[in-house]
Amino acid sequence: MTTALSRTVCLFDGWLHRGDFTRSSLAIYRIVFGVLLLVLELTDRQWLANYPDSFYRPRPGPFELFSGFPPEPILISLEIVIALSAAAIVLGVRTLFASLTFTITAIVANGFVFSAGKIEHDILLLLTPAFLGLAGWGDRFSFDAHRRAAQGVTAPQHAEHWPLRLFALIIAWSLFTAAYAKILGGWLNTNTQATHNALIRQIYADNVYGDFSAWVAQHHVPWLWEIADWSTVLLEASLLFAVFSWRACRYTLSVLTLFHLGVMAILMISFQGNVIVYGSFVLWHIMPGARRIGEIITRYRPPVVPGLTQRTAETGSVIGIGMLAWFIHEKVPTPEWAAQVVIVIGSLIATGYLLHTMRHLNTRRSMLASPTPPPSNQRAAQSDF
Amino acid sequence: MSYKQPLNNPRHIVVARSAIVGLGVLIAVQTATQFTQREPYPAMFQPSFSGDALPIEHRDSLQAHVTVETNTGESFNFSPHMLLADATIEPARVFDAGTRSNNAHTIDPRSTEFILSRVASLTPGVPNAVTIVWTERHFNHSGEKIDEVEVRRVALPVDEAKP
Repeated sequence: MTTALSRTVCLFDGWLHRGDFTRSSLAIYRIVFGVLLLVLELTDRQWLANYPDSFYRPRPGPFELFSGFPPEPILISLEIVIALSAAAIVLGVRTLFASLTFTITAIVANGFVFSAGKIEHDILLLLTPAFLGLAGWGDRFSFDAHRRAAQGVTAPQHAEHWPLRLFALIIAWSLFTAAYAKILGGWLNTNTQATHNALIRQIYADNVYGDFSAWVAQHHVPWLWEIADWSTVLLEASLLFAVFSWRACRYTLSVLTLFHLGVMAILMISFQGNVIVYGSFVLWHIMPGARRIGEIITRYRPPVVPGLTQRTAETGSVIGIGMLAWFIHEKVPTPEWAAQVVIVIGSLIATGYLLHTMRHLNTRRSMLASPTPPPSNQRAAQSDF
Repeated sequence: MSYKQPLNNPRHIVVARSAIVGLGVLIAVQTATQFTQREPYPAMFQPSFSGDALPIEHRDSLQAHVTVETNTGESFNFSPHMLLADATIEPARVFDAGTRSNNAHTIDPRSTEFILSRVASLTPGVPNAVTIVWTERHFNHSGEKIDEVEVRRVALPVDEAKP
């Protein structure tokens, strides 16, 4: 009995620490993620200070401890800390500390915003830096890595995998909660076409629609909409089963990205945050041209100023980039199409991955059928995944 | 190529196992909170759109708007989007949070004062009467409006707000 238990625990530990992520891959993603944070996610929160506390309706949780919205200086401070930590993530300065700071500060800042009536469900995006930071996304293509290399310290090539497993489980669970609520709400009932209902609500109640969604809404073919309902539920639930294998996880996340593209095209709802989060499971180091992103950051050195230490120069760079991004957001709000561009690019990457996988499967099938070994370039393609 | 980290660091193993156990506890707590109260924050949830699975005749939408009559006899209609244009989350939901009340005929005095100030900044002239009206619209599957029913009406005390 004890042997069986210890064997199971051993298998579990092995699963928790297994994977094919490298620190280089995570570091490239860190730069992409940080830039997207600076461009898309530095939202205005100062408006809360104008609202009376009668609008403060916190959800169950720590925000019930407050009786109203914080004053403007605190909201501005939270915005600045978020911008500075995003800049530190891009450059890789004190990366783990910056990552954890971003996650905590953004959750707190959004907690006040969501206490005004609506949760925006961007928690996965906010959790990403914490988990990827623990996995070692600051150990390559960063000021931290450069400084450590100068001291003769280099982190291993492979990433710390347990935070990634944990994060994948969290994403899977979050999506499962949506599927589960849909099942309880009756999405699988063949008398209700919930997807069509959502579309009608978007168009006629909320007045949010485009030409394509209006055209789609006119076609009420119940069995077709029912397929959409069932597919949505199955897709959202599927990651919880796929999460046990990295490969299955990547297939499912690729399909989910295409699902978000469909939701954006038909329902005009952009879940760009989720698409960005799914990018954390892409093997960026094998993507053509992606290493260039890392090399650009590695090449950048803060300007040498006499009398200033390297550390001070790095901090200055973080403050300069972070404050500039915050200031631009103050003056120019992010255009709505930026989120759509992210989803389209994410979908192109997902399609590329799925096509690559299909080609790989075909290669393997022909390998099994043929006694001769495949050409060397096909062998290389197989080893990528 | 899959790689398994050498499990020779007992601290890593303990931290990883503890994190998984912690995740399990968090999931249990947030699920219990959702079922007994409502969706907590922060929590690991994604939007469910579960309320959209309704029979055709029940496709509806509850909407609020503010009607204003001025001293010049003109009348204006303001949606939450117009009144709360600075909100970065859905203004209709923010408006709902501020006007929710146990009493069907009044709202919190702080919300009254705030809404009246917003109305005054948008209205040419002096508002004589300001009323919030909530209506429920019913649609068929083509999106055609079947009917619109008024479900709540609150007249804001304009005179008390005047200096």
